[in-house]
Amino acid sequence: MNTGNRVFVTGVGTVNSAADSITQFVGLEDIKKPSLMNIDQESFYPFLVKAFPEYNLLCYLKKKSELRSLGEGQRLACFAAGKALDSAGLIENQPLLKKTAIMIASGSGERSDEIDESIIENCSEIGGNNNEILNYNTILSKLRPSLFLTQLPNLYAANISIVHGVTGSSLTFMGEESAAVDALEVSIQKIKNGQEDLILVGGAFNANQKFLHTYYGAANKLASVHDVDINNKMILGSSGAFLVLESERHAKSRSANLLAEINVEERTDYSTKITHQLLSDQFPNSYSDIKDTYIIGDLDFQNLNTDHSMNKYSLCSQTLRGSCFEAAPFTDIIFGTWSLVSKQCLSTTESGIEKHRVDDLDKVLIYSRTDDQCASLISLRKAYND
Amino acid sequence: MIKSDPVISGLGLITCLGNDVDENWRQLKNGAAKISLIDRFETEGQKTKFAGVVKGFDHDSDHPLLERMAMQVAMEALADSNLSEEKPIDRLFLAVPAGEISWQQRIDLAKCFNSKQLNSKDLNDIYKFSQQQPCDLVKTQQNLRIGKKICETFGIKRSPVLVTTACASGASAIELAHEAIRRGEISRAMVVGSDSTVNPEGIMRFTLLSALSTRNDDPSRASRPFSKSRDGFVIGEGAAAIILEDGDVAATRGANIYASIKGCANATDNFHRTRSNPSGDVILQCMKHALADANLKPSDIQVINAHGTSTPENDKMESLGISRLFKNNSDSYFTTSNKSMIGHTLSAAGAIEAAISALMIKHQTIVPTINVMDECEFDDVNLASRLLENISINNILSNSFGFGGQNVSLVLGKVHE
Repeated sequence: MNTGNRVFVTGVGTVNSAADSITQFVGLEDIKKPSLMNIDQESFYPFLVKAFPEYNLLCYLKKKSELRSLGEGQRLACFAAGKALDSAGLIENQPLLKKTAIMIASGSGERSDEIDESIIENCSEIGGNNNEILNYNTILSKLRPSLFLTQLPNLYAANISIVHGVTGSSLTFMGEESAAVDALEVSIQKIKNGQEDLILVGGAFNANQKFLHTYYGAANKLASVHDVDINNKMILGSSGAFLVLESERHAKSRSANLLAEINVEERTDYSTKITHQLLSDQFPNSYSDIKDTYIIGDLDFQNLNTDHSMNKYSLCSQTLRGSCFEAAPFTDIIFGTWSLVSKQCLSTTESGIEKHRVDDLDKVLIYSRTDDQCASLISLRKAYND
Repeated sequence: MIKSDPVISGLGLITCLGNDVDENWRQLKNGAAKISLIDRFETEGQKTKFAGVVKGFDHDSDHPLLERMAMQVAMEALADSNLSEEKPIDRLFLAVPAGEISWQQRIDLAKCFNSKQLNSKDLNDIYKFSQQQPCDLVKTQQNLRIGKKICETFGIKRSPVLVTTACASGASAIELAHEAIRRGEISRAMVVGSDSTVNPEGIMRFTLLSALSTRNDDPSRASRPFSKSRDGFVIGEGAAAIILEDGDVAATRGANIYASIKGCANATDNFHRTRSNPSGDVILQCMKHALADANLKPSDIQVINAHGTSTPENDKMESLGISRLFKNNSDSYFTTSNKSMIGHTLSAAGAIEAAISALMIKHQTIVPTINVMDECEFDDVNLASRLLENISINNILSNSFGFGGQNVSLVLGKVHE
């Protein structure tokens, strides 16, 4: 039964390449004028990747040795989740953490490029027929027993649970951006339905993995130093982004700071191809909303110009954060929350990205899509703390 | 008015026992022992050389086993449910392993590059290659593709929900579908679990964790849940599809109903990344919450379809949880573990075992736990070591646990006509 509970964002935390300085709030306050900056040309030359800021997870770990059990993506997930719990005032609040649920979007775990490459080198008969022989004894002696554990997608949730003591129900969703919207939609439904009061929801993507550049590169999907025009190419960027969602009743009873009210407004049918379709065609029910709102997301500039001549401000966020799949919608929601709270917005123009003062901003839409298969529209509304 | 529970109105099943529901049920009742040595690839040097392998699927590199099993069970379940195009499935909930770049895919890439005198380790060579003939070498999003294919083939309009909670994934997918129906968001769901981890890398990974049985001289008797001499689990391949429908909607259309899902719960154990809390507290909490969700007491349960992996640790913790829940009333219920016959089907296990639980309710029959080699180490589990027919089964509690502290329990119940 829908109890009509409204759902609020009461905590946000992120570490991504657009946030070059991490502050107590969302890591966006000190943002410089962003454009196609923060590009790292060296790490995966000739492919471009978003440069990633320094962050310190140690502040959340009881023992330094815990770092070793965590893969790189798991570290940034734990850090962003910690920031979100911090900003919601939940860190070390055992009774509340115990009942906080975790919903995570994550496509795959992490692998060691070094080990995988050495295993393939030790594999005899490459280039022959189908009789590759893996030398198991060599392999076994090289691998740590715990290697397997960074490869499981649900170990992001497990590590957050272990590091921060969040032990409510736990689910992990796979499937790029649409997994993020699934995690968000299920979270919102559970809170509206009275099943949960507090949910930590988010995603993490580690772009610092060679195999990603190998396989997306071979498919000619990545921007490289040789490209003149990178408009239709991806630049991968790491991101960890988490929200604390809370029922109105629960948030008010503990005087939590309401940052924004959140809803999933509309999702397209899976069968609808969305390439080159105007947003207003993808979301017929939200047309009037779309045309006079600040919108953030996986938009291309072309689309903005034809569809959004009425929009005063719109942000193609991938130029800021890079492509980060499961983490993308959450990162954009945090950009939007920052805009509502700080009354500033970032807007894509022909010359780059500009920062504007927006005193009367009361609503932000987040647009997210998975390839050309499905698209979603998420709304953030200004929250009033009385 | 109290809404009736969501019901199971269609099943599809593939395991090493057979490639459809009927054959599986026949073999499960027979207590068939089909775990065998692997002959699909070289196992020399591996510590474990056997598994629960499905038969009748020839190698086809364009259509991996994972995908073919998922498609086949989906088709069987849909036909079984008698649903027509006018009564479509609202949403797919899919439990499959993560789509990652495996050693085999790297070998394929290296072979392809070798023939062009390029080095697959060198990103400059990758770039050169992409300029000549861009190619999606790896099915990075294999699991997304499976979801897409099932949705397109069976006319499911909303995007598929892919869930992973390691070895509890199948049960988590059922839990999500169950909740969505209860909340009234959808009236008909298809849950599919599929897993094909019987490959060199999969076996190696679990070997690293010392999780597998190494009884290479006696494969068919290696999976022996709750027996004193158990030494690890046996990987099994398989898939299951379950059509889950709003109870009233199914009754109105006169559906053939196997069982209802009365309650679900999950609980998180943050004791350790692979080990559960030795107190058994979280397992107990999970089962208790599932019973509470179903509005039942422990004495209402006649059968526990255990996670029962045959690892020393799981079976010890699970029996501790069971004996604490039932407070030593072990003559009021039976425990059985399907893994003794089909092995541990990992991401698919929760869905496969829920399908078997539904069949046990429909036929009022408990399928045996085979390979009870020596005394069951735990008196309180009251293991069903032989087939029990014409037993009155009203409710079954089915457990699924996964690495990362994931615990899920489902309660399936008889639907009274």
